[in-house]
Amino acid sequence: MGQARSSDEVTVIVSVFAMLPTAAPTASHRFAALLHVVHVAAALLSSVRHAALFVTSVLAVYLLQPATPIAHLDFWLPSASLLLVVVVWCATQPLRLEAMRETLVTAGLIAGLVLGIGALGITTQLCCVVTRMPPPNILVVAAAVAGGVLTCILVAIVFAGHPARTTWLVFALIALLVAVKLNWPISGADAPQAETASPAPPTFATIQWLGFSYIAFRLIHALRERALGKLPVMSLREFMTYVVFFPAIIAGPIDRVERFLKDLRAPFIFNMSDLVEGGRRLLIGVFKKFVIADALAIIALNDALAVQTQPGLWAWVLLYAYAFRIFFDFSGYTDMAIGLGRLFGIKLPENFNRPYLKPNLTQFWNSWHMTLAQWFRTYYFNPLTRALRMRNIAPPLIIFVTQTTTMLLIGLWHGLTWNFALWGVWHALGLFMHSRWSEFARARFGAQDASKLQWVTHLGGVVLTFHFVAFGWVWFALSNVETSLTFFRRLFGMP
Amino acid sequence: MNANINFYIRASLKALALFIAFNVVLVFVDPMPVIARLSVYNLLVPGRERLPHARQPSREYGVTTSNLDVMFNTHVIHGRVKTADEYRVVVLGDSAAWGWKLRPAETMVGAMNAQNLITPDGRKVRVYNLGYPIASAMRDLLLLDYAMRYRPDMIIWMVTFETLNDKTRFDHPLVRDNGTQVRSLNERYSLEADPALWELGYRDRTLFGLRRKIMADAFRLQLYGLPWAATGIDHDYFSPYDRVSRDLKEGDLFYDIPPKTLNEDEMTWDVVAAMHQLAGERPLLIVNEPILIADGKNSDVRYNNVYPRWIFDQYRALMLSKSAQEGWNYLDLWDLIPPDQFTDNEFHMTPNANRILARSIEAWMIEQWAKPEAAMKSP
Repeated sequence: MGQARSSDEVTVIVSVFAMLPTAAPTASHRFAALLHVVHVAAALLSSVRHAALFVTSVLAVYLLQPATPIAHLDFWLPSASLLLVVVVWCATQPLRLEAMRETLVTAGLIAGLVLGIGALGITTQLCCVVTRMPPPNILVVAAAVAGGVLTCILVAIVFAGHPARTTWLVFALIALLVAVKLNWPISGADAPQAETASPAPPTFATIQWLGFSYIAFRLIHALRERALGKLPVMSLREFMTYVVFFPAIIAGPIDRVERFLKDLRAPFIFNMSDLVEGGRRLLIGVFKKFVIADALAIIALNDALAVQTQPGLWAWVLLYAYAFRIFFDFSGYTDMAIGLGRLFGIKLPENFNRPYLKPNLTQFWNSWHMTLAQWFRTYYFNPLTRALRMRNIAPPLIIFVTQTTTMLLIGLWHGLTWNFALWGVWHALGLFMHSRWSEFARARFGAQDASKLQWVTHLGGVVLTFHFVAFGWVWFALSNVETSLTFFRRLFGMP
Repeated sequence: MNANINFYIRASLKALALFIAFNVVLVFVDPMPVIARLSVYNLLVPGRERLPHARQPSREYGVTTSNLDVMFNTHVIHGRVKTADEYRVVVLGDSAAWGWKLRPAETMVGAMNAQNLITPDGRKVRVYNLGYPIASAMRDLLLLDYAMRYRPDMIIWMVTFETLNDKTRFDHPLVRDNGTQVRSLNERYSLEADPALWELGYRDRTLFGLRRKIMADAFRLQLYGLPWAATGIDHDYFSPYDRVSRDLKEGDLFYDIPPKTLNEDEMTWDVVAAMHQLAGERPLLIVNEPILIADGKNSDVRYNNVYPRWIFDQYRALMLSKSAQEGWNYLDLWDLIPPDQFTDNEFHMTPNANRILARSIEAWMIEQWAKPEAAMKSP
């Protein structure tokens, strides 16, 4: 399990004692001893790394949760995230008596943290240190924790030895994901500002559940791997750290659990190269997100600008600004996540690989939000393709159906709106057209690609793909079809 | 890897040294005049019709900054070289002149420009809006001092009692944030100095202090130039607002001041005199801007919720006598606009009211041009 002190650490500790000077210490002795002390400190640090990652990640679920218009939801949503993780762990992991003590300690720690955060509501000074709004009554929190414990015991009993039953949980998570993405009416009475003389009129909003999209995908990944018998055995603490790993909770990437565990279980040797590389990625991410993306946000396409802008040149400027803004924003977050992960010895997977320089849409989707695309490929696209092939359906139709539904789902994962659906369909059509064109070109031109004009076709492909993607962003950036069509008209000089 | 680590350590140390050196330079050298010159306005995007001011930058495509170089470099006046056939008029004043809740074309300046006036010697009258929210005489002197480099031929100064009330002399962000310039004006025109007037301290001149915000605002204002160019929007004139009430509050206090005699020393006459000195031979027209004269509850003791009658009547009397005594060009248009033409407060007016106001001022200008002693000189 990698929990025992590693042999490297022992070596380091022993060598410190060996280094203790017997005679008067020389300068080099003192320096070497100092270095060893630093190493020992680092080694000790590594032994608490996992615990630190676990506690920080659990706290981050609460700390990063934005305020919600419904009272106490900023406490209940993070708590629900933790409960879901524990429930899925109970449903997917075998009962191991030898690990019972550690499990109880971890479960106790989670319950203690939840109760502790809830208890902060008793004080007026500390009530909002972790959550944005005061937590609910501590007795209600205690009752909820007790209910959570009972639920977990029940799940462990029901799912023990029945991996196929995990499918129920997959459907439950999908249903929950759909519910979260729906627009819910929020009445004035629910809003915290309801103390005003007249209640605010009801408004509609999605539930701002921090990181739930990513949490749900990691949980579904674990459930599917369990159903396929490929999920490794792991402790509750490891699983919790994987699912709510704080650098990756906001914007991914979506790591695979067995890969994550490999890094988590590896002895953490404090080393300069991780520090430098992690720091470098972190700085690049900060620059991309907070300098480039946030500056571009000022001039990037949004609902207001789409209808206010004059037709023609400026509309293109807004569109290009949005295209680069979303790239730098998202890849900046990813860089920060990868950099932070690296600082803690976790090598998160890459999510972007110069997507706007790809000569076709297929390559674009192999280099944009790669871990999400990979997730859909593994758990939706490939199984569906296999299923359709077995039914003797014409390959082009299979491609059309699988690509369209996959891209539609990716679109709807961002939000259940017509525009996200259209964005998905837009890319599906692009991917389908590209696959047909590739097929046609291969049959027609064969391997004549190495012509002198190859770079021209490559460049043309890059420009064409970029613009196809950029037009797609119109659906993605704007909230409704009418505004999007208005903006398309503006792009082409029409009022 | 060692080579890499050494590279990063050396690069970090060099970056740190450069950062420290840059901050030290900032303590002694103000980079803003140079930075402000690097403006996209009047180059890549059109200049703004009025000085930048935005409470909600993301809706109004602008940023409120106190740096005069940055403010003026975004303005259309900065990008327009004065030609021999232009008669250049600048308008100073508060938010009513700036055009609160109005598009640039709907302001008094917009209405004047729409008239395409021609002077008797054939020059085209082009009016520039240099109004800025919140009334302050010292602020207007500061703006005029800067605007003189654009060689105006005439200055129109929209005032109200709040403008000339000595209490508002230093009570304006532009005055507070431009201590060096205000101090210089105080010295040049022997004005009353504020001992509390401050200048940027050592820390504030570095990136750890106010200078970072000033530079960031300048940069943001450049970026907002693009949505401004794309939309022509520089202010939130599209959100609904509550109309100003014509039923007035109880009592006759002016803020917390009960009725009393308004003394001459409560007015910033020294600033008015400095404005005239600064204007030199150019005509300076002082306009007592229209206010809401409410007709509802308590309107027998108050004109509106800002001015009780006792103070505004005394102010008008003082202005009339002082301008006659000093020979100032003074136009008292306080009651020109009917109450239904005011928008969200006692000074902000509808486009129609601004047109009426513009016609009155134009009439005064034409009348002056017709006088035989009015020589049309261009400075």
